[in-house]
Amino acid sequence: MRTRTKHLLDEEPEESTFRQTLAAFDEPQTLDPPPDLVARTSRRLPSDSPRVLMQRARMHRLVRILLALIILAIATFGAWAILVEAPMPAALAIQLILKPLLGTLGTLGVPLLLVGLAAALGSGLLLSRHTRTTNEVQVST
Amino acid sequence: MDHQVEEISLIEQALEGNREAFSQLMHNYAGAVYGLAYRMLGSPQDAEDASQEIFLRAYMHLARFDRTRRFSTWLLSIGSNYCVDRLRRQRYSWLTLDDVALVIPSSQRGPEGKAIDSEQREAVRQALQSLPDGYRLVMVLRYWNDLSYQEIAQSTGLTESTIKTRLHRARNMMAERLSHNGVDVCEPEPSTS
Repeated sequence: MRTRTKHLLDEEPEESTFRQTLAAFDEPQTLDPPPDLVARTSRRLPSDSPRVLMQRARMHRLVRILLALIILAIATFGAWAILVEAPMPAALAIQLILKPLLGTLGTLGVPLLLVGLAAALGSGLLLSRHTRTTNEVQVST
Repeated sequence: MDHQVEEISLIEQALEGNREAFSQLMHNYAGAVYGLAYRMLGSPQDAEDASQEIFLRAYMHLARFDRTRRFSTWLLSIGSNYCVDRLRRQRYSWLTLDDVALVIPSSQRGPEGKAIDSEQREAVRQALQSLPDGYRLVMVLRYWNDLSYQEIAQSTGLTESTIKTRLHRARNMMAERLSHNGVDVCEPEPSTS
Protein backbone atom coordinates (compact mmCIF):
# COMPACT_ATOMS: atom_id res chain seq x y z
CA MET A 1 0.00 0.00 0.00
CA ARG A 2 1.33 3.42 -0.99
CA THR A 3 1.83 6.01 1.70
CA ARG A 4 2.15 9.77 1.40
CA THR A 5 5.90 9.58 2.08
CA LYS A 6 6.73 6.59 -0.13
CA HIS A 7 8.36 8.85 -2.74
CA LEU A 8 10.91 9.99 -0.14
CA LEU A 9 12.18 6.43 0.15
CA ASP A 10 12.18 5.18 -3.45
CA GLU A 11 12.95 8.35 -5.35
CA GLU A 12 15.99 6.95 -7.18
CA PRO A 13 14.09 4.86 -9.77
CA GLU A 14 11.65 7.70 -10.29
CA GLU A 15 14.48 10.14 -10.75
CA SER A 16 16.29 8.00 -13.32
CA THR A 17 13.02 7.45 -15.19
CA PHE A 18 12.50 11.19 -15.34
CA ARG A 19 16.06 11.78 -16.54
CA GLN A 20 15.39 9.28 -19.34
CA THR A 21 12.24 11.20 -20.23
CA LEU A 22 14.18 14.47 -20.37
CA ALA A 23 16.85 12.81 -22.51
CA ALA A 24 14.13 11.76 -24.97
CA PHE A 25 13.42 15.47 -25.38
CA ASP A 26 17.10 16.32 -25.79
CA GLU A 27 17.22 17.92 -22.35
CA PRO A 28 18.73 19.08 -20.04
CA GLN A 29 20.81 21.34 -22.24
CA THR A 30 22.78 24.36 -21.18
CA LEU A 31 21.67 27.68 -22.61
CA ASP A 32 24.26 30.09 -23.89
CA PRO A 33 23.73 33.53 -22.41
CA PRO A 34 23.60 36.57 -24.73
CA PRO A 35 27.19 37.36 -25.75
CA ASP A 36 27.04 40.90 -24.37
CA LEU A 37 25.49 40.00 -21.01
CA VAL A 38 28.70 40.31 -18.99
CA ALA A 39 29.77 43.52 -20.72
CA ARG A 40 26.35 45.12 -20.18
CA THR A 41 26.29 44.09 -16.53
CA SER A 42 29.86 45.30 -15.95
CA ARG A 43 28.83 48.75 -17.13
CA ARG A 44 26.11 48.81 -14.45
CA LEU A 45 28.35 47.81 -11.54
CA PRO A 46 28.69 50.46 -8.82
CA SER A 47 32.02 52.28 -8.81
CA ASP A 48 32.62 51.42 -5.12
CA SER A 49 34.01 48.09 -4.00
CA PRO A 50 31.64 45.56 -2.33
CA ARG A 51 33.39 46.17 1.02
CA VAL A 52 32.68 49.92 0.80
CA LEU A 53 29.08 49.22 -0.26
CA MET A 54 28.58 46.95 2.74
CA GLN A 55 30.08 49.51 5.14
CA ARG A 56 27.78 52.17 3.70
CA ALA A 57 24.73 49.90 4.02
CA ARG A 58 25.70 49.15 7.63
CA MET A 59 26.03 52.88 8.32
CA HIS A 60 22.59 53.57 6.80
CA ARG A 61 21.07 50.84 8.94
CA LEU A 62 22.71 52.30 12.04
CA VAL A 63 21.41 55.80 11.25
CA ARG A 64 17.89 54.42 10.75
CA ILE A 65 18.02 52.61 14.10
CA LEU A 66 19.36 55.76 15.82
CA LEU A 67 16.60 57.91 14.33
CA ALA A 68 13.96 55.41 15.43
CA LEU A 69 15.43 55.41 18.95
CA ILE A 70 15.45 59.22 19.09
CA ILE A 71 11.80 59.40 17.98
CA LEU A 72 10.88 56.74 20.53
CA ALA A 73 12.73 58.63 23.28
CA ILE A 74 10.96 61.90 22.41
CA ALA A 75 7.57 60.17 22.37
CA THR A 76 8.26 58.49 25.70
CA PHE A 77 9.45 61.77 27.22
CA GLY A 78 6.37 63.55 25.87
CA ALA A 79 4.02 60.92 27.26
CA TRP A 80 5.75 61.09 30.62
CA ALA A 81 5.56 64.91 30.59
CA ILE A 82 1.81 64.79 29.92
CA LEU A 83 1.23 62.25 32.66
CA VAL A 84 3.16 64.13 35.37
CA GLU A 85 2.48 67.60 33.92
CA ALA A 86 6.17 68.52 34.05
CA PRO A 87 6.80 72.30 33.80
CA MET A 88 9.95 72.05 31.59
CA PRO A 89 9.92 74.08 28.31
CA ALA A 90 10.93 71.00 26.22
CA ALA A 91 8.20 68.97 27.81
CA LEU A 92 5.70 71.75 27.15
CA ALA A 93 6.66 71.81 23.48
CA ILE A 94 6.13 68.10 23.15
CA GLN A 95 2.86 68.39 25.04
CA LEU A 96 1.68 70.94 22.49
CA ILE A 97 2.28 68.38 19.73
CA LEU A 98 0.98 65.34 21.55
CA LYS A 99 -2.11 66.82 23.21
CA PRO A 100 -4.09 67.38 19.97
CA LEU A 101 -3.23 63.82 18.94
CA LEU A 102 -4.47 62.47 22.24
CA GLY A 103 -7.52 64.71 21.89
CA THR A 104 -8.26 63.20 18.49
CA LEU A 105 -7.86 59.75 19.98
CA GLY A 106 -10.44 60.63 22.61
CA THR A 107 -12.89 62.17 20.12
CA LEU A 108 -12.74 59.74 17.24
CA GLY A 109 -12.07 56.64 19.22
CA VAL A 110 -9.42 54.00 19.02
CA PRO A 111 -10.94 51.96 16.13
CA LEU A 112 -10.91 54.93 13.74
CA LEU A 113 -7.36 55.78 14.70
CA LEU A 114 -6.30 52.20 14.11
CA VAL A 115 -7.88 52.28 10.64
CA GLY A 116 -5.93 55.47 9.92
CA LEU A 117 -2.73 53.89 11.18
CA ALA A 118 -3.31 50.82 8.99
CA ALA A 119 -3.95 53.06 5.97
CA ALA A 120 -0.77 55.03 6.67
CA LEU A 121 1.25 51.82 7.02
CA GLY A 122 -0.27 50.41 3.81
CA SER A 123 0.55 53.57 1.87
CA GLY A 124 4.09 53.48 3.18
CA LEU A 125 4.47 49.85 2.13
CA LEU A 126 3.08 50.53 -1.35
CA LEU A 127 5.37 53.54 -1.74
CA SER A 128 8.44 51.56 -0.68
CA ARG A 129 7.51 48.72 -3.08
CA HIS A 130 7.03 51.19 -5.90
CA THR A 131 10.37 52.86 -5.15
CA ARG A 132 12.12 49.49 -5.06
CA THR A 133 10.57 48.43 -8.38
CA THR A 134 11.55 51.73 -9.96
CA ASN A 135 15.14 51.33 -8.80
CA GLU A 136 15.32 47.80 -10.14
CA VAL A 137 14.10 48.61 -13.62
CA GLN A 138 16.44 51.51 -14.25
CA VAL A 139 18.71 50.22 -16.95
CA SER A 140 21.81 52.22 -17.69
CA THR A 141 22.98 51.29 -21.14
CA MET B 1 40.35 22.13 -5.95
CA ASP B 2 42.39 24.49 -8.17
CA HIS B 3 39.13 25.86 -9.48
CA GLN B 4 37.99 26.69 -5.94
CA VAL B 5 41.30 28.35 -5.07
CA GLU B 6 41.12 30.41 -8.24
CA GLU B 7 37.52 31.32 -7.47
CA ILE B 8 38.33 32.45 -3.93
CA SER B 9 41.16 34.56 -5.33
CA LEU B 10 38.77 36.19 -7.82
CA ILE B 11 36.29 36.88 -5.01
CA GLU B 12 39.05 38.46 -2.90
CA GLN B 13 40.07 40.70 -5.78
CA ALA B 14 36.45 41.64 -6.50
CA LEU B 15 35.95 42.56 -2.84
CA GLU B 16 38.75 45.09 -3.21
CA GLY B 17 36.91 46.62 -6.15
CA ASN B 18 38.61 44.79 -9.03
CA ARG B 19 35.84 44.79 -11.64
CA GLU B 20 37.80 42.58 -14.00
CA ALA B 21 37.84 39.85 -11.37
CA PHE B 22 34.09 40.13 -10.91
CA SER B 23 33.61 40.08 -14.69
CA GLN B 24 35.56 36.80 -14.76
CA LEU B 25 33.22 35.39 -12.11
CA MET B 26 30.26 36.55 -14.20
CA HIS B 27 31.74 34.84 -17.27
CA ASN B 28 32.05 31.60 -15.31
CA TYR B 29 28.44 31.63 -14.12
CA ALA B 30 26.60 33.56 -16.83
CA GLY B 31 25.26 30.32 -18.34
CA ALA B 32 23.95 28.96 -15.03
CA VAL B 33 22.36 32.23 -13.98
CA TYR B 34 20.87 32.96 -17.40
CA GLY B 35 19.56 29.39 -17.70
CA LEU B 36 17.87 29.60 -14.30
CA ALA B 37 16.31 32.98 -15.13
CA TYR B 38 15.16 31.87 -18.59
CA ARG B 39 13.51 28.70 -17.31
CA MET B 40 11.89 30.50 -14.40
CA LEU B 41 10.66 33.59 -16.26
CA GLY B 42 10.04 32.08 -19.69
CA SER B 43 11.35 34.79 -22.00
CA PRO B 44 14.84 35.71 -23.22
CA GLN B 45 14.30 39.43 -22.54
CA ASP B 46 13.19 38.85 -18.95
CA ALA B 47 16.00 36.36 -18.44
CA GLU B 48 18.64 38.82 -19.63
CA ASP B 49 17.29 41.59 -17.45
CA ALA B 50 17.02 39.26 -14.45
CA SER B 51 20.58 37.96 -14.98
CA GLN B 52 21.91 41.51 -14.83
CA GLU B 53 19.99 42.21 -11.62
CA ILE B 54 21.18 38.95 -10.04
CA PHE B 55 24.84 39.77 -10.76
CA LEU B 56 24.38 43.33 -9.47
CA ARG B 57 22.90 42.01 -6.23
CA ALA B 58 25.73 39.51 -5.93
CA TYR B 59 28.28 42.31 -6.32
CA MET B 60 26.57 44.50 -3.74
CA HIS B 61 26.36 41.67 -1.19
CA LEU B 62 29.66 39.98 -2.02
CA ALA B 63 31.15 40.99 1.33
CA ARG B 64 28.51 38.80 3.02
CA PHE B 65 29.49 35.69 1.05
CA ASP B 66 30.42 32.83 3.38
CA ARG B 67 33.61 31.20 2.02
CA THR B 68 32.64 27.82 3.46
CA ARG B 69 29.81 27.64 0.93
CA ARG B 70 30.08 27.13 -2.81
CA PHE B 71 29.92 30.38 -4.75
CA SER B 72 27.62 28.83 -7.35
CA THR B 73 25.10 27.81 -4.67
CA TRP B 74 25.20 31.28 -3.13
CA LEU B 75 24.75 32.93 -6.54
CA LEU B 76 21.87 30.63 -7.47
CA SER B 77 20.18 31.36 -4.15
CA ILE B 78 20.22 35.07 -5.06
CA GLY B 79 18.88 34.11 -8.49
CA SER B 80 16.13 31.89 -7.05
CA ASN B 81 14.93 34.59 -4.66
CA TYR B 82 15.02 37.24 -7.35
CA CYS B 83 13.06 35.15 -9.89
CA VAL B 84 10.39 34.08 -7.39
CA ASP B 85 10.04 37.66 -6.16
CA ARG B 86 9.79 38.98 -9.71
CA LEU B 87 7.13 36.43 -10.68
CA ARG B 88 5.14 37.37 -7.59
CA ARG B 89 5.38 41.08 -8.42
CA GLN B 90 4.39 40.47 -12.05
CA ARG B 91 1.33 38.59 -10.88
CA TYR B 92 0.12 41.33 -8.55
CA SER B 93 1.05 44.45 -10.46
CA TRP B 94 -0.43 46.34 -13.34
CA LEU B 95 1.50 47.61 -16.33
CA THR B 96 3.40 50.84 -15.71
CA LEU B 97 5.96 52.73 -17.74
CA ASP B 98 8.61 51.05 -15.58
CA ASP B 99 7.38 47.64 -16.69
CA VAL B 100 7.56 48.70 -20.32
CA ALA B 101 11.26 49.43 -19.79
CA LEU B 102 11.71 45.82 -18.71
CA VAL B 103 10.70 44.39 -22.07
CA ILE B 104 13.01 46.45 -24.23
CA PRO B 105 14.89 43.74 -26.11
CA SER B 106 18.63 43.38 -26.18
CA SER B 107 20.45 44.84 -29.14
CA GLN B 108 21.78 41.37 -29.93
CA ARG B 109 19.68 38.28 -30.33
CA GLY B 110 21.31 35.50 -28.34
CA PRO B 111 21.56 31.84 -29.26
CA GLU B 112 18.62 31.13 -26.95
CA GLY B 113 16.33 32.39 -29.71
CA LYS B 114 17.58 29.67 -32.01
CA ALA B 115 17.49 27.11 -29.23
CA ILE B 116 13.77 27.40 -28.64
CA ASP B 117 13.16 26.69 -32.32
CA SER B 118 13.57 23.06 -31.49
CA GLU B 119 10.09 21.62 -31.21
CA GLN B 120 11.00 19.07 -28.57
CA ARG B 121 12.69 21.56 -26.34
CA GLU B 122 9.75 23.90 -26.75
CA ALA B 123 7.51 21.10 -25.43
CA VAL B 124 9.72 20.78 -22.35
CA ARG B 125 9.77 24.54 -21.91
CA GLN B 126 5.99 24.71 -22.02
CA ALA B 127 5.60 21.81 -19.59
CA LEU B 128 8.06 23.50 -17.23
CA GLN B 129 6.27 26.84 -17.51
CA SER B 130 2.97 25.21 -16.61
CA LEU B 131 4.31 24.15 -13.19
CA PRO B 132 3.66 26.29 -10.10
CA ASP B 133 6.62 28.65 -9.41
CA GLY B 134 7.85 26.79 -6.33
CA TYR B 135 7.84 23.44 -8.16
CA ARG B 136 9.49 24.89 -11.26
CA LEU B 137 12.30 26.35 -9.17
CA VAL B 138 13.29 23.04 -7.58
CA MET B 139 13.03 21.25 -10.95
CA VAL B 140 15.33 23.76 -12.65
CA LEU B 141 17.86 23.71 -9.82
CA ARG B 142 17.87 19.90 -9.71
CA TYR B 143 17.87 18.92 -13.38
CA TRP B 144 19.26 21.93 -15.22
CA ASN B 145 21.64 23.36 -12.63
CA ASP B 146 22.46 19.91 -11.29
CA LEU B 147 22.35 20.83 -7.59
CA SER B 148 22.14 18.27 -4.79
CA TYR B 149 19.18 18.26 -2.41
CA GLN B 150 21.36 19.92 0.22
CA GLU B 151 22.41 22.68 -2.18
CA ILE B 152 18.79 23.26 -3.26
CA ALA B 153 17.88 23.52 0.42
CA GLN B 154 20.61 26.13 0.92
CA SER B 155 19.48 28.05 -2.15
CA THR B 156 15.78 28.07 -1.42
CA GLY B 157 15.53 27.80 2.35
CA LEU B 158 13.27 24.74 2.01
CA THR B 159 13.78 21.49 3.90
CA GLU B 160 15.09 18.46 2.01
CA SER B 161 11.85 16.53 2.50
CA THR B 162 9.84 19.44 1.07
CA ILE B 163 12.19 19.52 -1.91
CA LYS B 164 11.77 15.79 -2.49
CA THR B 165 8.00 16.09 -2.27
CA ARG B 166 7.92 19.00 -4.69
CA LEU B 167 10.21 17.18 -7.11
CA HIS B 168 8.06 14.08 -6.95
CA ARG B 169 4.89 16.00 -7.76
CA ALA B 170 6.57 18.18 -10.39
CA ARG B 171 8.05 15.14 -12.16
CA ASN B 172 4.60 13.56 -12.36
CA MET B 173 3.02 16.77 -13.66
CA MET B 174 5.71 17.22 -16.29
CA ALA B 175 5.68 13.60 -17.43
CA GLU B 176 1.91 13.85 -17.80
CA ARG B 177 2.15 17.01 -19.88
CA LEU B 178 4.99 15.72 -22.04
CA SER B 179 3.12 12.49 -22.76
CA HIS B 180 0.43 14.61 -24.42
CA ASN B 181 3.05 15.63 -26.99
CA GLY B 182 3.08 12.17 -28.46
CA VAL B 183 6.48 11.10 -27.18
CA ASP B 184 6.70 7.75 -25.51
CA VAL B 185 7.18 8.90 -21.94
CA CYS B 186 8.05 6.45 -19.21
CA GLU B 187 4.91 5.88 -17.14
CA PRO B 188 4.81 8.41 -14.30
CA GLU B 189 3.97 7.38 -10.75
CA PRO B 190 0.48 8.45 -9.74
CA SER B 191 0.52 11.46 -7.46
CA THR B 192 -0.12 10.68 -3.81
CA SER B 193 -1.48 14.11 -2.96
